[in-house]
Amino acid sequence: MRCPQCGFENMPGRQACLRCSAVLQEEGLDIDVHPPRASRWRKSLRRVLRALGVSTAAREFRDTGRAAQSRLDAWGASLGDLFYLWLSIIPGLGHFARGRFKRARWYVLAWVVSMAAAVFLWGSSAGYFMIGLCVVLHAWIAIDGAQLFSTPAMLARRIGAFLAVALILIFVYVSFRRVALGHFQCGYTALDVPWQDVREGDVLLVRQDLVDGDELGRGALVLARLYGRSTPMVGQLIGFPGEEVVIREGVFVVNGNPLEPDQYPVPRWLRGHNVSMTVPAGSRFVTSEFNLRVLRAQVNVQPYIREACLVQEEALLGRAIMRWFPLGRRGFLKEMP
Amino acid sequence: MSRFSHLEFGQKRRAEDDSPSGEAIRDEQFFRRRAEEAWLAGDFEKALQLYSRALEQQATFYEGWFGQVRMLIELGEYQEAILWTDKALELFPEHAELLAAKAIAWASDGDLQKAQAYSDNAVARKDPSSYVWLARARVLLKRKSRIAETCIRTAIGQAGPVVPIMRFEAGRLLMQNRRYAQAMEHLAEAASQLGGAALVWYEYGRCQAHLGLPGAATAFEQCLQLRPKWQEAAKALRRFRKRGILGRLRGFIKRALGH
Repeated sequence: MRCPQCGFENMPGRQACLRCSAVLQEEGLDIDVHPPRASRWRKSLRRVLRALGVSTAAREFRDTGRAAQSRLDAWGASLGDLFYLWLSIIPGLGHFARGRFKRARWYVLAWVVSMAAAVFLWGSSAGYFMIGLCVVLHAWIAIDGAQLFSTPAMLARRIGAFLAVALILIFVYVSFRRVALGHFQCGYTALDVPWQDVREGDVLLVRQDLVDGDELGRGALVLARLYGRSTPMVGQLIGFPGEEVVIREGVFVVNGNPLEPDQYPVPRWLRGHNVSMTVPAGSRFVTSEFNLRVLRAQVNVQPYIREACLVQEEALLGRAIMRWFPLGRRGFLKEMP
Repeated sequence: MSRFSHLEFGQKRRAEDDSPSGEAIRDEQFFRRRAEEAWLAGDFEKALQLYSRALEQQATFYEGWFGQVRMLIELGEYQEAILWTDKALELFPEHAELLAAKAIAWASDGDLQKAQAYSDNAVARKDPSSYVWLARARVLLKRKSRIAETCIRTAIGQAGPVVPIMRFEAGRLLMQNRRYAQAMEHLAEAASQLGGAALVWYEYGRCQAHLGLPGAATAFEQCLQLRPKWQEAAKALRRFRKRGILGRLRGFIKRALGH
């Protein structure tokens, strides 16, 4: 084969010229000769990033990442597959340490998306489903990252390891939820409060750390263990210790001052009843809708009003801050004037 | 083989380039010559296309690959230039000029460590060409090293028949690093020898404009005579003519400080 550069006659089958190292073109050799191009906006963006020193910093960050990866790889080689399993406590880190970047990227993306959906839908069945999906995905990522029992013959062991890791992860997720989101909880409300655009059946997001006297003003929607309810429910705080609460003509009157019915609505089950009581120390007057069958008082409600409306301080669990569901009305609650 | 070894400065076209019918043979050398002309006219985009045309004729034509990389660097597409150099290096692994081009691309992109490494590699090869030395000078100038001037001198000393081009490149390099007075020396020499190259006049004009010399307008006009529709040159000429007191003062200070 004759070299196109220097004319040297090479032995047949050689790929590069013996004399000048030029590539010997074989018949039918197809080389793309059109270089890649950068678009105008990309060139401008790069220019700006170069001027700001961002591209250099990004490169250094990437190099640092590669160095970290090689260090992790060295540790992993000495510690074995379980090391990668431990690394996978952060999804994708095991893959990253093994240099399987593409797979790590996809797994992390899937996990982040399902976690974001879980947080967004938290409090609903879909939210719980997404959290379950996150756990399953995380366990799978860990098993895959550690490359445990990867042959088909070890399928049973792989499933066992997967279940074990999933169980551990459930514990980790629950602990993490307590640590990171411990102050937040979702609660149903049976009340209609037009002024705050809260309707019966809404799910409200509650902050459990807001239960001090300063945080709970009149009209605040509070999560509380209400009389006859098995789970905490959201009710409205109407009266404080020492105050006289009266329901007159379908309107709350506290210490002789009538309250705005839009802001402080009287629940349906209390309408038509004469209520007058002084809130004792250590209690709050909290209203909510009640199913009268639960109260076993379809006919005579009067004896149960005191028990249903007076809530002990310890039974107050937190203050609602957001309409969480339905999604269309998600938003922060207005502060009562 | 130097990349400029086939350049013609005012000589007649070689007889063997013409077909019997009198038309130029459109082979890779034809397109390479056209590409070099386009480059000297400051039309880097067209030069890049012509290098691609040359490679369409002969895919293993080294000057074509090298020219493409140079044009990508001229166009400011450094990442693409690096990628393309890697591809070219697969075909021509022994060519130090490709390594030097990669060093320039990295240096321009802001990674001086990699630029230095590639430049070291290029210089370590057997008989480094003037382009390799000039690339080293570029990297060293970025690192504010004093050895850069020695590299420029070596590059010009080794240039042989392409001294004017090397002087021009050296002048551009020094101007980019704000050494206008030194750059003027080289660019003036290059302009006298490459009088038909619009790019040379443009860069000469820019250098003079930085120093506030009135000759800048003449250089830009000369450039526009050679390539009338070059917007950048026209813009530079307008800007130079409209420069205010501050611009004149800046030029005066630069001249006084011997920049």
